Amino acid sequence: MAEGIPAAEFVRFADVSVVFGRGAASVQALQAISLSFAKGDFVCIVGPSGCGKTTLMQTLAGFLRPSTGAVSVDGQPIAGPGPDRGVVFQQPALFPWRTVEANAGFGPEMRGIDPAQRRARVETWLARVGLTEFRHRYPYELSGGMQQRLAIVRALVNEPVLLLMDEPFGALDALTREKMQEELHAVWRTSGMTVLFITHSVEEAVYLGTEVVVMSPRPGRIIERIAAPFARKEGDRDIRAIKSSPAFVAMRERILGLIWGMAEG
Amino acid sequence: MLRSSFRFWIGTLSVLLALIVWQGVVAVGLAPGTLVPPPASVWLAFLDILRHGYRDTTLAEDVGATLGRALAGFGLGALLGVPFGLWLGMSRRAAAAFGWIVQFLRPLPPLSFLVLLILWLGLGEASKIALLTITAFPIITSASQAAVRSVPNLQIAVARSLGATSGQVFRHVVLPASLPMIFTGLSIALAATFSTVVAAELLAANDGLGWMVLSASKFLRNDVIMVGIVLLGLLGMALSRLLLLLDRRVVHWRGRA
Repeated sequence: MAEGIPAAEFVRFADVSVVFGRGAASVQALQAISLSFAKGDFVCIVGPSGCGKTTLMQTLAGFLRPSTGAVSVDGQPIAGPGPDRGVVFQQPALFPWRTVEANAGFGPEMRGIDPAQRRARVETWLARVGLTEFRHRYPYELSGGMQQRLAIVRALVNEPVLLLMDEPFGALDALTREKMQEELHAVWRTSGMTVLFITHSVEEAVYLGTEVVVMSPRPGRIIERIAAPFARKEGDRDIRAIKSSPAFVAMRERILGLIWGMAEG
Repeated sequence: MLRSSFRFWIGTLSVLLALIVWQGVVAVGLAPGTLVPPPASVWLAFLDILRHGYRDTTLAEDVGATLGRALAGFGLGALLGVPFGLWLGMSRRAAAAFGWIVQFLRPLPPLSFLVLLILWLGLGEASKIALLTITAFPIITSASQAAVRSVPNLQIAVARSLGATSGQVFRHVVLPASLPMIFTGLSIALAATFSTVVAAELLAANDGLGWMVLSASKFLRNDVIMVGIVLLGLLGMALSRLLLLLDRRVVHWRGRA
């Protein structure tokens, strides 16, 4: 970690505003967002459609420059997209002309990482998510859940310090979604990676996040930041038991109440 | 979906039926055989041309001339049109500079250039190949340009976030993602080139299947005209079939991703 950067400011949004368009037709997507979090945190952002969750992530990914304010990782201002920040979208956005294996190894291949090392990493990750037997297949030969697993593996093979996920499980069925939540949680626990995770599902956010950030639309701003204890809970990791525990339900309902409040107001 | 052998037999049957009806119409006297040469006489004319050629040219020479011109023009059009179209797709400035010229060329019937091209390049092969290049080029250019424009933004964003440079994004994402539309453009251009080569040979040539058809019409050899038409149709079919096979191999993900 760079010198003089407080641990809690590994990722830092400093007074970030984003305005789309000009004049009367302009839309304020984000208004004065200040948000910092530490290395190893799993930060989930929830909020109704149009609250600027995706816009916020895009400034961190480097796809979008804030109109005012600055975003930094480990004290380094974001200048554009980079391999230190892996990105996963709701659509897997795989490369259909490449095999499963070649999709997974795309990052290291582009960055000129030694082929033997690249193959080893790809092999490890494909085995971990159960895609080894499909390594010579093409993405269109996989189910939706497997495609999304591959999209996540493609980001992880690159060994980013930050993983940015924009509703990665939004297009999956309920069962696949819960299985993926468990897998992602296991990866995060063992790797110590920092994750920014956007979701529409409050339950998913409370289950996965060490912190849940609630955003409100028009203009997009942060209205509440809640520490969630479940992601770091030791011992039994039975997903159904955790999600039905009174403490979990209470936190989920509280956050849902906040979001419902916005819809009415 | 129908089994492929079944589809083959249905197709064969329908062609046979058409031949029988055609032969029958002449046989029962509904049409005079000199005006509508029946399949049997077309076949005999074909065998005759195969053995003795047609007016100083062998059949192989005529087929070769037509095929050679079509492929040379199409190949040149592709060689120029694909890179040019990719460039127009990548650079808004280039698209602004050249877009109107391509859009102007695209709807023009290429034959309208032929007289000028003959004046500039002479009656030989150069003017015909130039004409066919002009036919294929704008079609391939605009397909390639549109292909680049339609590459999903998400794929480009993912590639950049995985550490690809802009050159790598072009080579490893934009180019392969453009292939399906480029191939569609190529097949349209191939069909257009082929119909133009025949028209060009009808107007100015000393060999080629188009020339054979025109020459036969001067001698009222309707059977030879028919031979030419049938061969042209088969040749055109074979060419687009070959391109389709190549398309299936290269763009294996078409319609599936």
